[in-house]
Amino acid sequence: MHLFIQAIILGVLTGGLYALMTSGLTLTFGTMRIINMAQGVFVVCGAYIGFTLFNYLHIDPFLSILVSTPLLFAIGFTLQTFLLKPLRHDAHRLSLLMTWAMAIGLEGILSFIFGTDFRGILTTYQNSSWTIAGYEIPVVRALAFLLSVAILVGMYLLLTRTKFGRSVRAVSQRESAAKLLGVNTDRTAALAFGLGAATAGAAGAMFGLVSSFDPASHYDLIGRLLAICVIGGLGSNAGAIAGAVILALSESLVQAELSPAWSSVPFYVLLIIVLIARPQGLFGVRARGAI
Amino acid sequence: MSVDGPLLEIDALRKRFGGIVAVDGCSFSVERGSITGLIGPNGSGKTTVLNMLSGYLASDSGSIRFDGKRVARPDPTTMYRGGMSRTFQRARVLPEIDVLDNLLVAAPKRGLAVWGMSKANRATVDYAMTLLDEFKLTRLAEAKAGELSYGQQKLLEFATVLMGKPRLVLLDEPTAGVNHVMVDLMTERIREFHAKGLTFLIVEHNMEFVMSLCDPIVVLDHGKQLFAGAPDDVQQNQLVLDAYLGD
Amino acid sequence: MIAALALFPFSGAESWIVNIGIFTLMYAALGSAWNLIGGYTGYVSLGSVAFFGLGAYGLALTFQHIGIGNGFLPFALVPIIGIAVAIVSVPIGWIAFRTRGLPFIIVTISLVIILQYMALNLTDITGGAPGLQVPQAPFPPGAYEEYFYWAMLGVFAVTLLACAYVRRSRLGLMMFAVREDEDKARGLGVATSVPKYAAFAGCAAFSAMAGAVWAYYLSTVYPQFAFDGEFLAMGIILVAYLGGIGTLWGPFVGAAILTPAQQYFAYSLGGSQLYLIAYAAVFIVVMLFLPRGVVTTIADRALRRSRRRKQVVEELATAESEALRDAPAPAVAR
Repeated sequence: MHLFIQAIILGVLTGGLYALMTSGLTLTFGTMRIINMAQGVFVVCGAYIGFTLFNYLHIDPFLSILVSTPLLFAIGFTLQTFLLKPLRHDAHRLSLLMTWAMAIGLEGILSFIFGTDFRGILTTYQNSSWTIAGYEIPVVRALAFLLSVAILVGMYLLLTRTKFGRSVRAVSQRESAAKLLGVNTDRTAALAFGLGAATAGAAGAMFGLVSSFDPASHYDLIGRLLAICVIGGLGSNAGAIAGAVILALSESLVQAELSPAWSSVPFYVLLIIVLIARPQGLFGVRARGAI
Repeated sequence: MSVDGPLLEIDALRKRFGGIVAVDGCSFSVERGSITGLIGPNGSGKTTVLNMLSGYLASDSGSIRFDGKRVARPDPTTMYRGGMSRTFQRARVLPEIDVLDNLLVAAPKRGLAVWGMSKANRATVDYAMTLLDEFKLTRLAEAKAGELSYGQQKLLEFATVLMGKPRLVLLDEPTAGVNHVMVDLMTERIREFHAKGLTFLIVEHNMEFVMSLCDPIVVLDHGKQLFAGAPDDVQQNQLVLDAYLGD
Repeated sequence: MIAALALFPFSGAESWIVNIGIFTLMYAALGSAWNLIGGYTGYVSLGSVAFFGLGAYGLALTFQHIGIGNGFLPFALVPIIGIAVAIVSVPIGWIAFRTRGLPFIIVTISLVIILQYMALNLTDITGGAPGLQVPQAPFPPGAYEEYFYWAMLGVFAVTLLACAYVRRSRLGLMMFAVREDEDKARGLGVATSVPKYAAFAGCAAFSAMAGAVWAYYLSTVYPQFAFDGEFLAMGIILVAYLGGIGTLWGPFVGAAILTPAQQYFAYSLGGSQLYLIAYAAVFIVVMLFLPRGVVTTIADRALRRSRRRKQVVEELATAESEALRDAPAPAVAR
C-alpha cells in the first residue's frame, strides 16, 4: 500500500510535466488544425539548452527556463513562418509531414552539436527529497510539477483574458469568420505555434532534470504526447491534462509494482480500449464530418 | 410491399444539440408520387430533418417509416440502397474524379460485383451516359467534377443520386446559388422524373420555385410542423405569414 | 518497364549498384503499397512500417521454428507471409478505422511504437534489441545481390499490378470516393468499409512481403530497423510524395530519385547526423516546391497541352454562358 501511494505521488508529479508538453500540441492543433510532430524535439531542445547553461555557465536548470522558453518561441515562430505558412495545397496533411521533417532535421542538428550520448542535468539537489507522512517527494519533480502547473495556469489566463487569446479562440472556432472579424490569422497561427514550442522549451529544461536524454529521445516523447492527445481527445485541454496524468500514473505504478520494462504497456492497452469504446477520446467531442 | 399509405412517414422526430432543440416532435408524411415541399424560416430544422431521414444524423426519438416499414437505425448506405437518396445544400460531388465516374460510383453494386475488373458494366455506363445527356453534361463527362461550375455540380449531384433508381429523392435547396437557366433545367428534370413515378421531398427557400412545383407543402417552424397543404392555402395561411414575417 | 528492370543486373553492373537497385525497388514497393491506403483511399497511414517489420520478423521466426533451408524456398514463403500479415492487419484496421483524418495518422504511429516496444521487450520470441539472425542465403558471391534484386522486383511488380487493378476497377473507384468525401460516398450506397479494409490489408500484405525479402537479404532483423517509425516511415511517404501520391508510377519515380541520393548521402556524409539533416532538407524542399510530386506535375503539363484536354477546358468555359445565351427571357432571380 505504501508503495502504491508513493507511485501515485510520483505519477501525478510527472503527469504535470507531460501535461505542459501536451498543452503546446493542443494549442497548435486548436488554432491550425495540424499536429506538431516536432513538439518532442522542441522538448529535447529545451533539455539541451538547460544542459548547456548548467554545464558551462552554472545556471540552475529551473532558471534556464527563462532562456529556453523565449528561444524556443523564436524557433517555433520562425519555422512556422518559413516552412508551414507557405503550404497551401493539402495543408493539413503536408503540415504534419513538414513538422516531422523539422523533428528529424533538428534531431540531426542536435546530434551534430552534442553527439548522440545520453545526457542528464546533474544538480546538487538531484537526489534530495522531502519526506511528508512517510512518503518521499523528490524535490526536482515537485518543483517541476509546481512550475508546470503555474505555466499551465498562465497559459489558460493568456488564452481567456487577452486579445491574443480571443484571436486564438476565434481562429480555432472558424478561420474564415475570424478573418472577417479582422483577426490576422497568419500572425495568430505563427504566435500560437511559437507559444506551443515555448511550452516545450519550458518543459524541456525540467525534462532534462528528471530524465536522461539524447537527440533521438524526441521520438519516444512524441509517441507518448500523441497517445496522450488521442486518449484525452484531440484539441481538448482538459483531455490533455487527464491523459498526461493517466500516462504518468500507469507508468509509475507498473514500474513500482511490476517491472520497468513493461511500464508503457498499460498505457497503450488503455489507448486501444479508448479507441474501441470512445474513438473521440475521453474529453473529445464526437465530430460528425457528415454535415 | 404495401402499396397503400404514404411513401414516407415521420412521427414525433426530435433532436437536440446541447441545449438547443433543433427538431421538436416533427411529424409529416410524403405521399407516393408527390412532389412535397418542405419550407420554413431559417433555423426551423429543415436540414436537420433531412439529415435524420437520410441517416447522417441519429434522432433522439421518434420514428421514420419508409414504404410502410419502420426504419430502426437509418444509415446513409442502407437508405440509398433502400430507395431513398438525397442531395446536399452545398453541392457535394467527388471533386478529383471524372464526372462519369461520379455517376458510376453511385451505381448499386454489392457482394462480389465489387471485385470485378472494370468500373461498371456496359448497361450501367449506358444508363449513366443517358443521365448525363438529360442533364446536358455529356460533353463534360471526362472533366473532373471539381472543375464544373457550381450550377453544373448541383445538376451532377442530382444526376448522381438517380443512378440508384430511387423511389424517393430528397433535394436540399436545389436552386440555391444557381442561375435561372440551371433552375429551369432542374425544374424540367424534376417534372420529368416525377412523371416517371419518382417521389420528391424538396427543401427550398425559393418560393416561386416551390409554389410552382410542389404540392403539398409542409411548413416547419421551431422544429415542428406548422401547417401542411396546397400552395394556395399555404400562401394565405396567417400562421405561415407570421412565422416568416416574425411575430 | 518491368522487363527492362529485370534485365538490369545483366548490364554488368557492380554488386554495389545492384544493392542500390534492391533498396530502390524496396522503397518503390513500399511506396506503392502505401499509395493504396494513403494515395487512393486518402487515409494517411504511417503504419506501413509496422507491417514491413511484421513481415521481416515473420520470415525470421519461420526460420527459427521450422527448418526450411536457406536456398530459394524462403522466397516461396514471402507471399504466404504477406497473406498472414494481411489477415493480422484486419483487426488492427478495425481499431484504426474508428478514427479518421489526423487521429488516424496518430493511431498508425502508435501502432509502430507499440510493435517496436513489443519487439524490444518480448525477448523470448523476438530476441530483444539484438534481434534475430536469419541464415545467409547460399548464393555465389557474384550473384548474391542479383537473386534478391529479382525477388524485390517481384514484390514491386505484384504491388504495381495490384495498384493498376485498383485504378481501373470498381474497388478503386470506391477507394477514390472514400478519399474524396467518405460521408457523401456512404450516401451513394458505397459500402465504404470494403475499400478501406482492402486498401489497409493490401498495403499490409505488400509491405510485409518487402520486409520478408529485406530480412532474408540482410540475414538479420532487429527492432530499430524493422519498426523504424522515424526514418523508414518517413522515407516511404517521402518517396510517394516526391513521385506524386495517387499516381501509378509516382512511388517508383520517387524511389528512383531518392534512394540513390540517400545512398550517396550515407556514403559521402558518413555519420548519421548530417545524414538526418540532409534527409530532412530534401523532405522540406519537396513539400515546399513539389507538393504534388513529379509525376502529377508532369502529367498536368502534358494534359494542358493535349488537344482533348483543351476541348474540355473550352467546354467548361463556354457551357454556362452558352446556356445563358440560349435561354428565354430571364426569370426573376431569387
